[in-house]
Amino acid sequence: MSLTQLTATEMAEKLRAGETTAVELVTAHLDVASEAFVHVNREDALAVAADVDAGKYDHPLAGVPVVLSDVIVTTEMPTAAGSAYLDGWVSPYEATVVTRLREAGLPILGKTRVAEFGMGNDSGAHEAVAKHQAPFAVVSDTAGTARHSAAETGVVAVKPTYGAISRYGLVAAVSSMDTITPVARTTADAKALHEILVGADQLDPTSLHHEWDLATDTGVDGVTLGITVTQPDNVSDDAWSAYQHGVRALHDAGITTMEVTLESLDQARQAAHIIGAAEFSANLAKFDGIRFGNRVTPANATVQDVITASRGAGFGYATKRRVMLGTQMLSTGTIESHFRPAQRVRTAIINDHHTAFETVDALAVPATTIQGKEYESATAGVGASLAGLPAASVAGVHICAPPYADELVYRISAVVEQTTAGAAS
Amino acid sequence: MKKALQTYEVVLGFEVHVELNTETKMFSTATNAFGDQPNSNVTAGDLGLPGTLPTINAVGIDYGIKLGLALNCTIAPESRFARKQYFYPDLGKNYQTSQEEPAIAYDGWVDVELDDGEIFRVEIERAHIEEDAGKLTHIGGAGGRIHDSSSSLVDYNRAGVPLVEIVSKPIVGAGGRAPELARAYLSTIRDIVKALGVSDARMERGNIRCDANVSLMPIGATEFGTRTETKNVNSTRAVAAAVESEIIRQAKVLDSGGTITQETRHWEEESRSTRSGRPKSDADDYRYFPDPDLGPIVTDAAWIERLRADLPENPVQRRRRLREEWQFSDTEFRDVVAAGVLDEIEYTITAGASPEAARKWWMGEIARIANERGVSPEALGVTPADVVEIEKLIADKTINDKIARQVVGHIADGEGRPADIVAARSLAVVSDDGALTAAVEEAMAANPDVVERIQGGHMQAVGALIGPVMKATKGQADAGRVREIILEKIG
Repeated sequence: MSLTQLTATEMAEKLRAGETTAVELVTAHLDVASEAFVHVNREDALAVAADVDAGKYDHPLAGVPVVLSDVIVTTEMPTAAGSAYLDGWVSPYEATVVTRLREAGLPILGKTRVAEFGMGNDSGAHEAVAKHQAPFAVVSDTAGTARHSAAETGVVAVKPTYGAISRYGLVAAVSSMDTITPVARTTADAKALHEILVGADQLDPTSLHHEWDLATDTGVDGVTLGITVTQPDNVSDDAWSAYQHGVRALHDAGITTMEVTLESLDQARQAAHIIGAAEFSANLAKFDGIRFGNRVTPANATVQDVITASRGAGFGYATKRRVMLGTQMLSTGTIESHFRPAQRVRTAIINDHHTAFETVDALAVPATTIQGKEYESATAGVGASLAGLPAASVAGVHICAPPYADELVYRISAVVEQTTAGAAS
Repeated sequence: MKKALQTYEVVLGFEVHVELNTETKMFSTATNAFGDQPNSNVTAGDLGLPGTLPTINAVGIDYGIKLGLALNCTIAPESRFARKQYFYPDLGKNYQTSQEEPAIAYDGWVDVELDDGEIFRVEIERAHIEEDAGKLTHIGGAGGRIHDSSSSLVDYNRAGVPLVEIVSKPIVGAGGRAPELARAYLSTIRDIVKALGVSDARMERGNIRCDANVSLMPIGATEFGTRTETKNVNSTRAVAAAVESEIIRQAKVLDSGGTITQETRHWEEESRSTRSGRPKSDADDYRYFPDPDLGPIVTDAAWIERLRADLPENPVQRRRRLREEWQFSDTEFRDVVAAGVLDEIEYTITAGASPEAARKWWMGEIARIANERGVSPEALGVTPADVVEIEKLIADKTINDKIARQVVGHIADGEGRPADIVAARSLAVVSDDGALTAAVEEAMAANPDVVERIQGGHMQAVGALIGPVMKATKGQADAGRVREIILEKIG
């Protein structure tokens, strides 16, 4: 069996048993690296692997390779966030998650392709994980993007509670929804990666100060789950069948289910679209051609001309459209008619979830919908982003739980994935 | 201006930006310092690099609340930071982190004392916390202006320095005293932030910057006229002059049937007039929205009360109290305030001197030497304790007034404390009767004619003997004792 066929957990076991080396693991993956990568970090990854083999790290996952979505800044590799504006830019500082991976001794194989500023479902990280070019990946989930891509590529994405993992060094798209998310072929691997990344960071003011305990794994016996009973219009027959399969597995494992419908979710996509565009437009204002990135200087240009030309040349169509939409959403008049109502919808969604969680421990809905274009993915996925909830997309099931209940999401996810054992291999 | 005021009522309004003197910036860990090498106090976040996030400086929040309390404001139980968006290269993020509604402090007032002691209450609409922008230097244009410049340099050291913006409510009823009120208001704000210790309060460095809004309306009208906003007037004298100049200019325009353009204007010191800037409308759209990177500022009574307990006495009230306690005349007190030695005099009195003695030294010899050396009196190196010690040396006749003044000069030269200087330089007055008697006998022997005249009843001739004695003791003799000895001898 090729080394790349192993899960991250199995790789770690083999390393500890002395049955392979970190250099072998890194080499095996680099040999199959594809166009999912925008930058291959060969020398640095091999150097870290050699240090692991020399016994310089004692983290249980040291030596297991990982990839980063190109929206996460690194000092050894360029960061373009999928944008021509940033093409070739190298950050002078490092993202907190990168520091944590380095400190644990995980060789970083490279950076993976991403839709511009992460605002879309095209993800080289998911592709690399699905194709065994990396056992797991660190990506960003904005309004459900990473979970949606997971459903489409047959891998697992577990979005933590908002604030559980530092955003410092994640190129911001929608600040209130961007969440660093582990992607893996198994729930156990996603959780192992999550445990390396989680924890308070003074560089991120939205970072949560919380004692995380993800270690327990006691099954789902006694857990109450809110489920969807009737096939929604926007869920295909295949997707519905996968979902029902997952719910049956949960029943078999001792879970209790009841039908739960959150009416406020009907407006979740629109609210996320408006709030997302608004924050996106403000976050992208810094891309002005003055201090970093690719400057375009027309003849006899004023500073305003430079800003216009640099943004014009650097941003793609979808980004420009979203920036213009967001700018409009915050303008006098529209802010009252659109942005503030969208914020009220968000509050209603948070409250609805809170109420539901008084009755059930978690919610499970179909993970894929036929409306999954751009980042407007599954409604429940968007709702979890708006409410900052921990949420997973696994084997056709989308699971979310109350804030801080990340461990429960992993437990439920682990049961669901057993139904499709081997599906992602 | 008098003519203008016969027809028009003046409405004023002020926006005062106060730079806080925190160690680090409001939303980053960069040092907050003035005058350093350009772009040396800058983090990735101050430059708005992708992926960076702000952090909140808790001291900045404390200072904002303190300033709000000193302005008698309500402190918001919960307020937020908002992004105020506009593209300009002095902002790394192309938005300024500021506050919309509610500000951290709102609905306050401040009493402003005019020259004649009259109190004018200015109502405060809000005081909010925000960040300063960087500094642009335009190269190639006339007088450093952006017009016709070929390029511009940006220094982000100031970008992110904490500011509190204090916005007054419209001020009606100042009439002819509008310029005086403008000056008094700005100096009151300066005194308050200085007393609080939240700002270096150096206006020449831009620690306090004032935008003055002026509009005129016909007397008796209720609807305000169109206002202009004169930006960044940076001295108390300039704000008075700018307000006066703007009143006269607007009255001229209105008298000739014209209308006032709502715009920003710039104060020009050379011509002592305002110049038109950019048009400004109320519809300027900054697309404010709550900053998703920064959580709410939630205050509670315990926190606010702890800061309130820490507040110094209001400067206006303090001055009134001190004038009463010290019994200075109005002129004396005003001179003390103008000389900037109020604190020193207070400390000197606390240390044991009489108010009159404290005033005499700080307004007299210390001020004279400080002036000669081009420093402020408190920076001369003479401490309140020194003044008390000098007074004591005079009282016990160790030194006389003339020598005491010399001692002040020696302290300023860094020679040490008064008693040390007197000892080291052997300045003590000679009061040893043996030494004085010998000197007197010598003087009498040298001036038999004078002795004769004194014996003949010409008492004023005693002075002619004291002179030589003082000369012989190098001025260190106690003149009163010398006189007594002479009279005893001749007696």
